Amino acid sequence: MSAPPYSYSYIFKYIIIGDMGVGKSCLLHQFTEKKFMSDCPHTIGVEFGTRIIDVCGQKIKLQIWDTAGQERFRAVTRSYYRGAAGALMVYDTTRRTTYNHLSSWLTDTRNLTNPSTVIFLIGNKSDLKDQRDVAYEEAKQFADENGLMFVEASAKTGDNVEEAFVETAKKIFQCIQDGRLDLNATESGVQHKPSQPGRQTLTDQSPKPSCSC
Amino acid sequence: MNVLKKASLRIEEADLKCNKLGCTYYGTPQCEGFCSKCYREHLQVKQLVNPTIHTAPAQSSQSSYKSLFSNFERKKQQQQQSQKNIKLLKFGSFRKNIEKTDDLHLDLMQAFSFSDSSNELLRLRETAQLIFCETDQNVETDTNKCVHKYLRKMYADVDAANKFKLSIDDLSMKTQNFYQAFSKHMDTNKIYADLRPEQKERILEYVEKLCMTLLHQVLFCPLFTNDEEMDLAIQKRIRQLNWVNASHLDCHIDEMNPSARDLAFIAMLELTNMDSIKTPPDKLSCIVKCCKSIFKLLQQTGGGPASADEFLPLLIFVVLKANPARLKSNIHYITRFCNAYRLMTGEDGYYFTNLCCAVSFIENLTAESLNMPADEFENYMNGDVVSTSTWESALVICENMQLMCEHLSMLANFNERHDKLFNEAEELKLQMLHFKEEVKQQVHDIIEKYPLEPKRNPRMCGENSISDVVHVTQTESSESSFLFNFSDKPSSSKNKTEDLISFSSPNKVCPPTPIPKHLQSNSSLCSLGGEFDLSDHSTDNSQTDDLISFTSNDFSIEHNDETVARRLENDEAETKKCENETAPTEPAVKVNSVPEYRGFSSQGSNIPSIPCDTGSTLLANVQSPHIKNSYFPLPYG
Ligand SMILES: Nc1nc2c(ncn2[C@@H]2O[C@H](COP(=O)(O)OP(=O)(O)OP(=O)(O)O)[C@@H](O)[C@H]2O)c(=O)[nH]1
Ligand SMILES: [Mg+2]
Ligand SMILES: [Zn+2]
Repeated sequence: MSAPPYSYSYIFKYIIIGDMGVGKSCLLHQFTEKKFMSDCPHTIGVEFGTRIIDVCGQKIKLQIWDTAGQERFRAVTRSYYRGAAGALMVYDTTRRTTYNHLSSWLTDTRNLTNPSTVIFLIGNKSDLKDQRDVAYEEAKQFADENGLMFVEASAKTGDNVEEAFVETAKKIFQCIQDGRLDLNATESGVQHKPSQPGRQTLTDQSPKPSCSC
Repeated sequence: MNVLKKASLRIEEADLKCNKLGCTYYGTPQCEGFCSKCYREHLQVKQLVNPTIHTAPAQSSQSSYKSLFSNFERKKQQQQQSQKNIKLLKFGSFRKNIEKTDDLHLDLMQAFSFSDSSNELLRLRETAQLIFCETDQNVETDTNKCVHKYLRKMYADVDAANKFKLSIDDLSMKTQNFYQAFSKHMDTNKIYADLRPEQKERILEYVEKLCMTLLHQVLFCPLFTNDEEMDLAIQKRIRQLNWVNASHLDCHIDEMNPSARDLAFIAMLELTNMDSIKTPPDKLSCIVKCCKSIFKLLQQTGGGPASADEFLPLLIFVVLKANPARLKSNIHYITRFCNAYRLMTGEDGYYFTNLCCAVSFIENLTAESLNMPADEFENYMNGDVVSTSTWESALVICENMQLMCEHLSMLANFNERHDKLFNEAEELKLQMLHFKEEVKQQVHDIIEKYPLEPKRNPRMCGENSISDVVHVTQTESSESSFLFNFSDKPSSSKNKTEDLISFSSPNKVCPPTPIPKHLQSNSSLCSLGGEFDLSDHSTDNSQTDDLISFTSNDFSIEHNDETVARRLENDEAETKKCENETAPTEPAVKVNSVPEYRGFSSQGSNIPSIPCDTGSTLLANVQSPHIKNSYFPLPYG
């Protein structure tokens, strides 16, 4: 039983972060399965999902890490920031506290990821229009001030979910082409498929150990 | 089937042993019930039969699971001495030297720069220093040489595997062979001859951790296997089984008891943590910590020593609730790349085997294994029926309670700070009032103590061509106090009045052009608060100088509040000054207004702080009828 030949040319690693119950797991599920989970259990630690998308004619495999929003899992989830090419920061448009916590999520992200990591802000549950607690303009301004991409989405209806994930990938891909993102950096969160020459082939490295051997 | 269910959940040590008769090592479902040693033999035989097929472990977990459990039945009959296994949980001689390390050698870090230069490597380097400081230099050199050789070969092999020329099992076998060869090398090579067995064991463990830290990136969940798919499958399966609770599994955990909840929670956390750790021995120690927490929980609930057959259900419950990331990848990685001896015996092996059983159970769980009607099971699995698990609610309540406590303590903190602020404001107010009184008192005392003498300073008169408003008024004040003090001496009084007239007449002409020098020094006095720069004071005005130096000395003792107090004084002084300012204009004609200067003299010491405002703002009012009115009704007016 051999694995199928690689059907993609890059792997991008994403993380999804934000307060508990903002709908991170639902967003991931909507993106990977195109379904809404109405009674989703709280995430313990981390979960992950994958999907191959098409960006600028390239097949890109997204490996997405969905983290737990609860404070007590912070120690576990922090180790997944390292080496993320994209970070989706989610708040709940119907709960202001989740919006207020964004700055601390942003600080964590900036501290734990590399400078080239693309950060995308998502205001989730946009379907609950009559319960809105955070104005679009306010969040947009926050995003602009901090140089984040921003969209309001709904994991329930699927509105803008695809866009958020794909736009992030496009931006990352742009960074690769501009040379702003170094593919060979260990924590870039981007990997070429194994047979590609661009990938660091281990034998090429021909390590010259400093000891005598 | 019910019997099987009981059997599957109640496992004794014998049931966990290798499939091969007579072998005492632990077997795992991933290795078709064999221990890893027998499994490799088994594989080799298989490959001889059909060399084109690479048999992956856990390819058919269904059958391996069955073989494992049918295995117990058989062994139960075979092994009569299983009674002694009841005490299997009291492990006596477990390896104690599993240091919590993860990490490497700087030489290697530079050589293999593509691997993460994480602090895992730095910590591993510390471990190396501890080990090799006790040994001969050659030991370290030779160990590194062996590691390099293995790593180089491995990198080439991984490349081949990426092109599907090698399978992950080949890589696993090569790695296990390396561990064995290195172990043998240590036993035979004379470089290592002086080492104690436990030193060799530590070196072996270090080598294992070093290699696996460096290779984790390429050997964990590699792209050339289907590990990731399996991870996704079990993750989904566990999510589907979210409705299963402790009572379904026949295990009892008091979800509302905080300490029980904490222990269960720690167990989950340890298991969740496993994925983010790089080396197999460290991953194993996460499993061990998880299981130990479960045992503590069992002891607490049971009120006595825990029995092994209560353990597995609880472990299954923990795995179901934690849904650890990349569960299969982790199990595979440990099975393939952990030094096999570790998994075959001892605490690590025992707990790891239990975890593998728990995973197998979850993968193969049916209505029967939970002892529930098939349609009910289906309803749950399809999500048609939703059960609210107490565990879930407990977790959420827990988090919300935590949030609430956070907010409460924040509120309390605000409250405290508010009270403090309020008290401080009150205190400040009191201090200000007190200060005002004090200053008044001091001024009074000074005037009492140093009555202003009518000594005429010739210099003052001589230089009065540059005299300014303050200067003049100052002089006037001393004159007036003189006048007051010696009012019953008409002759001198007359003299002074003449002086007054002569001084006040230029005043009348030039009040709008006060001499800046003095004004500046005075304004600096007003605004600087505690700091008094007296250097500006012209020496020509000895009397004024005296006064200023007195007051400034007194002020300098007080702190900043002074400015505030001074403002208060100023307010008062200003109103007085309004009256006084008019004095030079009128008394020039009316000599009998002299006693009016009394006020001036009593305020004399405050004059330095006044003029900056009065000079400009009051001048406009000097001729205003209002002031004149307020002046004329006075008794002497
Ligand atoms: N109406 C509506 N409800 C949503 C939407 N997204 C999520 N929800 C609901 O919000 C709740 C929480 O969603 P989750 O995806 O579990 O939240 P989470 O961010 O993963 O939470 P943690 O795992 O605890 O960090 C679920 O009950 C969802 O049904 C949405 O777009 N619209
Ligand atoms: Mg979640
Ligand atoms: Zn065996």
